[in-house]
Amino acid sequence: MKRLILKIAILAATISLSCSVQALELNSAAPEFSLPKLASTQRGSLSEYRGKVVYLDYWASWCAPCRTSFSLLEKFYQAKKGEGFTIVAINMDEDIEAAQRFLQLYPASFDILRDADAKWADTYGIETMPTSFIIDKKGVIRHIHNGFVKDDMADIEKIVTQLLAEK
Amino acid sequence: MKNLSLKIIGILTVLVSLSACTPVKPWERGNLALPQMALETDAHEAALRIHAFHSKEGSSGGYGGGGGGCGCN
Repeated sequence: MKRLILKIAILAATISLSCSVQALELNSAAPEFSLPKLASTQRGSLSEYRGKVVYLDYWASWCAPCRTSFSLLEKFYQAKKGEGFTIVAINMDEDIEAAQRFLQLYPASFDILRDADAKWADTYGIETMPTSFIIDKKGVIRHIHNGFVKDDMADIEKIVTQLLAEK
Repeated sequence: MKNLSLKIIGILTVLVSLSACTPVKPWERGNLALPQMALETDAHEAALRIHAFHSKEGSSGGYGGGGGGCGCN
């Protein structure tokens, strides 16, 4: 009986401790995802963008800083897309219509995918909205950015420019 | 006696792990971010009150976080 109680206690403690999210580390390979596109029936995967510097952005329509980031990111994308830079935004809204309404207000021409089951958000260890990853041409995570304020754009531009210069 | 305390520890551990509290993932905070979920009904009035308190007391902070839980403001 004593052993049984001890076993139950250890099991319960293990279950309650196993809920933590393991975030990705810098300089580790970005997990290869395949997700449906928001505006079409096609799918998008990370390997499609290999050889480009990728700004991977997890966002949701209700996230206030995403309203700031989207217009700035769109401008930056337009300026740098010819140099081997791309933005992949992964939407996390439960309601797809909310995401569509957001995009009418803040239009974006870069690829927008949808992770409705939050499978990849968990793998990427998302802790805030938005969270973005700057991935180099070889598919390695070189920068992780939590949240977004207008002034962050200068740092992002600097990092992307450095990575674009790498072979 | 030893047996009883072991039982109590076991039961308490099970009860703690059975609690209804669960961490809300960042992408599940859409409803928490709605304006009607704010603790203050009028954000402008609250800001004014906090400003007056700060001026009178020379201290600020401890009023909770902004943004309804997206963890980024």
